[in-house]
Amino acid sequence: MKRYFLIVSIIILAIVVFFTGFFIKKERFFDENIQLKKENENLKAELQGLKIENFEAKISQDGLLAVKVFSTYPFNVKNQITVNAGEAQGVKKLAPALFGKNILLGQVIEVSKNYSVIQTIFDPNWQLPVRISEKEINGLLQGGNEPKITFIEKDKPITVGDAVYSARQGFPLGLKVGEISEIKESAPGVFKEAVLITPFNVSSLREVEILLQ
Amino acid sequence: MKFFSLVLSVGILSVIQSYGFSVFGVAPNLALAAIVTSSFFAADFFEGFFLVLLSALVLKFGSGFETGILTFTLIGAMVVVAAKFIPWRYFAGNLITIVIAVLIFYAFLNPGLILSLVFAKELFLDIVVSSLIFAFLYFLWQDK
Repeated sequence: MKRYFLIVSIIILAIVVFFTGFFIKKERFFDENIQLKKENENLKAELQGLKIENFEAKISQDGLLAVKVFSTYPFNVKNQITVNAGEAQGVKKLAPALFGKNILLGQVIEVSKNYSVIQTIFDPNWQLPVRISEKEINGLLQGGNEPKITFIEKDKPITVGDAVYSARQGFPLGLKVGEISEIKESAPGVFKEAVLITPFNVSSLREVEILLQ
Repeated sequence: MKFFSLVLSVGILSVIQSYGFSVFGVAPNLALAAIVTSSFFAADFFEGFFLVLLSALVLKFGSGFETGILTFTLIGAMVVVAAKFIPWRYFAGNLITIVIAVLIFYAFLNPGLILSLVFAKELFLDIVVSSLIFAFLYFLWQDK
């Protein structure tokens, strides 16, 4: 009897997991501390951004869609989150996803009717051209568990605490990505590397913003 | 009762993992560790397969088809079958199986990460978690 029950349960579970759109929504509760941190970090990003020439990351509140985080990808091999808005809410593939309105979190990579998947900057497959500090030094952000900036010319002066901004075409120029936390001068070749620290932790995100326009 | 304790172990650890639990930024594969260990205690293949699919359902993170979940399910099913034929003493078998399972998991989903620190950290955490679950289940059942 128990065996029949198990076999039936296995069949039902397999159908639900692989042949239906059902998934358990692990929506997190609102956290006031995270909201305050988000506001503080965005103000800081705005002040830092004003020092850059051609600063364009002045996004109107109308162009942003606040969405709730439903789930995070449960393994280390990717870093993605599912949010509760999709085509029906105007989300489009490749739209930038933000933490607040000045800090880049990632990019929409999949859109269904009422859900979207965002690839975050912690994804090992994520790469992004960036500029460092108001001197606008070029680098390439390589995503991952510990994101780093590569291809920084060795003779360019960067210091710990310098802000890092997105320089990808199609994204508003001047979106802050994070700050330099460590510089590795000893990297081989003519370039040096730097470790990036972000103002947010993906596992504690409750609400993010998607840029619609 | 035995099966219920396995369902509870796998279910609770899968839920914790699905909420993004991490240690110093590295998310241990709690569900896989629980599946590997439970496979050595499950009465038959059906119990093992049920645990694998229960865990897959909890971990599923979006409405679409996910290769990560399919890989997890296939590796879990292979472990369930292999656990019944592994000749070594249970604890050593458990350790070796978790190492092989994590290695195969990364090899399928992102082989470039196998030589990274993330993989080493996760493997260490998975071994610790798996050993703790093994000890818990062993002492829970030793007189039964």
